[in-house]
Amino acid sequence: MVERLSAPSETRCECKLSRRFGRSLARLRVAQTPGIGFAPPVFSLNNVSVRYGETVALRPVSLDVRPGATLVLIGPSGSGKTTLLRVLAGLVAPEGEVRFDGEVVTDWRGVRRRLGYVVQDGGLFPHLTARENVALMSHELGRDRAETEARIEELADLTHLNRAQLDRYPAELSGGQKQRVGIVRALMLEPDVLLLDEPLSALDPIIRAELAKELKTIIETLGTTVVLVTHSLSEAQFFSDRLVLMRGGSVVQEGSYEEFERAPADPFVTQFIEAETLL
Amino acid sequence: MRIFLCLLAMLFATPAAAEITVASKVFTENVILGEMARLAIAQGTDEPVRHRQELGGTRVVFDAAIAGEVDVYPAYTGTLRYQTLASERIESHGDLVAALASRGLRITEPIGFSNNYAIAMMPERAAELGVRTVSDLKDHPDLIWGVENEFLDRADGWRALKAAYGLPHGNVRGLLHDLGYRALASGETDLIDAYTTDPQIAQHDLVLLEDDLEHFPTYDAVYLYRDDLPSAAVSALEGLAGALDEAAMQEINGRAQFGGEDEGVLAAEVVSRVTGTAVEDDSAEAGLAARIWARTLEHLALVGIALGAAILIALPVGILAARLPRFGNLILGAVGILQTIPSLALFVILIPLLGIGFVPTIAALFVYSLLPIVRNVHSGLTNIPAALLDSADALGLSRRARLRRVELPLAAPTIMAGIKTAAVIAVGLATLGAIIGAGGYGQPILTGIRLASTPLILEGAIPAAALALVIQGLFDAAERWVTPRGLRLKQARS
Repeated sequence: MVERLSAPSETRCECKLSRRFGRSLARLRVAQTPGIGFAPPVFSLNNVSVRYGETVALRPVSLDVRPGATLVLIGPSGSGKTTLLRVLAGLVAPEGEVRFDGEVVTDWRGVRRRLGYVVQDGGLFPHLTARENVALMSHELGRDRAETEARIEELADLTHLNRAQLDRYPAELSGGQKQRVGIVRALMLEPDVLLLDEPLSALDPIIRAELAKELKTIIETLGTTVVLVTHSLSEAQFFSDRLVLMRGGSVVQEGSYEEFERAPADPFVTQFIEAETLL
Repeated sequence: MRIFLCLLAMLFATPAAAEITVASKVFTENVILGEMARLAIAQGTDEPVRHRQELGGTRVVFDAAIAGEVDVYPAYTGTLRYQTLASERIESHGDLVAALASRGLRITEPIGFSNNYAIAMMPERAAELGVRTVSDLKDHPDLIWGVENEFLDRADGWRALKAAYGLPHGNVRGLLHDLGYRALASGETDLIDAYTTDPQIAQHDLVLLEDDLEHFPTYDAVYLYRDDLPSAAVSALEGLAGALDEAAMQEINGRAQFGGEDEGVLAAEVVSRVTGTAVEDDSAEAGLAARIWARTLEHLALVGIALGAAILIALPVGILAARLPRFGNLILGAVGILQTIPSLALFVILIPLLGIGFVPTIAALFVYSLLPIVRNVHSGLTNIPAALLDSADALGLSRRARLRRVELPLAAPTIMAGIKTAAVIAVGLATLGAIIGAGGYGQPILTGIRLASTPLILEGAIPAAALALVIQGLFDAAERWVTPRGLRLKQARS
């Protein structure tokens, strides 16, 4: 997956923005250095499962999230993909072992601050303006105001948000704008991993395509590790060649779209592909 | 906040203990006797003295005297024996004095009249049936009785009377005392329990049946006082012994109740006659505006302090209830039960614990303010969409920061609505505080009911209603103010 980062995207990394992201860049460079091979995974799940009372939401899953790459969790409703993402975000306490940066996670609060999390409609706080939403955590951590403002401006440029939009309340923003604000908010603290839960599902087709392109550019520009949840195969294919297909709380197959087509692990895989391509 | 502090300052600025406090029960004769005590003490001593008119029923004034909040009140020996201390089965006057002494209380020599129970009939009806004594009633089992509610349950009341005379009557209704005379005059009842000094007896020329078996005890009017009352004040009270006989008391009651004469002026007349020196009623009523203003301040202080304390307690309790679902159910259940205590009962229950006046009234209002606030804090916090809380957690906000930055602002309109409900309820309930001497708008309502004076009732009821509306308006504005702009936009759109 390291190879996917082609030369042009690396050139883009030289923009002034990227200098602020030394940490993730450094990791990227390590990952890219010939001879080292695979860098250690950012997240490593070992037999992780989730149960709500009697209901099993996630059967034991083992999975690695590799640095600098985009991993897509795909599957129909109720397949457990969102539950798995919520485990990574520290919103669900699972059974089994979750490692972050090589260490078993015991205190999620420390980990959460190194993650960015975006939900379907942005998950913005309705009582705060876009700018206040974005700056909330920086202010809470007592970061320098001017620096925070500067960072907001940079990320707003990157996500094509203008200043007037930043000073509006969520109720005054369109679906696409809300999603952009949500992405800016998730990126504010330079996260190691960006967790995206159906970020495009609530949008009109045209806006959706537009934002998909922008999002991909942003991901490549920043070189951030991404885990994305979607139910759309075309969206999954667009973002990554490492897909994890889920069904009924279990992983059915892991691999690229081509592998799914060529060597389906289960009749369900073919069924899912056919259904997606039919409509 | 500043207003709150001002109210608090007012509360503690009320004069301290050195004053002698006379109290009276909620009926005209007792108020006049209370005024007589106040004027006599003022004339005979240098002590400052005030009269808390219509403080409450027998239980309220008696408990207040034991608690030291009241120094003197006009009492009746029969009431002390058969109602207040009924459980001690007092046999003689000496036993009564001893029972009072063990509580730090004493009584004066009789004021000169007794206000006994008697069974009254319209003269025409009595003549028609040839009834003269209570025993004669046995021959007329169809007669209808209308008696005061309290009389139904007293140790010397209806049941005892029926047993003593072997009365056959089954048709007995409980009434308010003053309404009994109207029922009698209109023929709805044949017999009522009268007090022998009631002016209505002369007004309707009623026949009082002879208590031929001597069932009813004597209700000599006396002053009950605490044994730490200064001796000069005791002498002043004793000076009123023999001041009024039954006819005189009945006449004065009539002048107050039917002639609209001021109780203070009537009392001054009696005290002047007894002491031989001219005594003037110096408690000239303030003007209407000044009266309403003073009561408004009292009322606001009651509501403001109770509500402020309720907010301070209910907010953290509501937050805790929202955090811990099991504890939440428990708490909501508990404050719900508190809310179901009848308000009159709560006011009276609190007297032995907190005395009379401001403090127990505030405590009661506080209790009733808890539920609406706790409930709304709880529902405001638990109704926040889970996705927003996830977003807050995923951002890495601590629990405290999440509460302060996200949850409380989102719940603010609901919380404010709860506080508004509590405030409006408290304004209404505070009028009941007058029953235990807290003043406020309830005072003129209470007096108005006693004197059947609609203007007086309105003098309390109209400002109370107006204050409720003003408070409602202020809180509506506050609700808009605490609702974050972003939420108002959302409401406008959806």
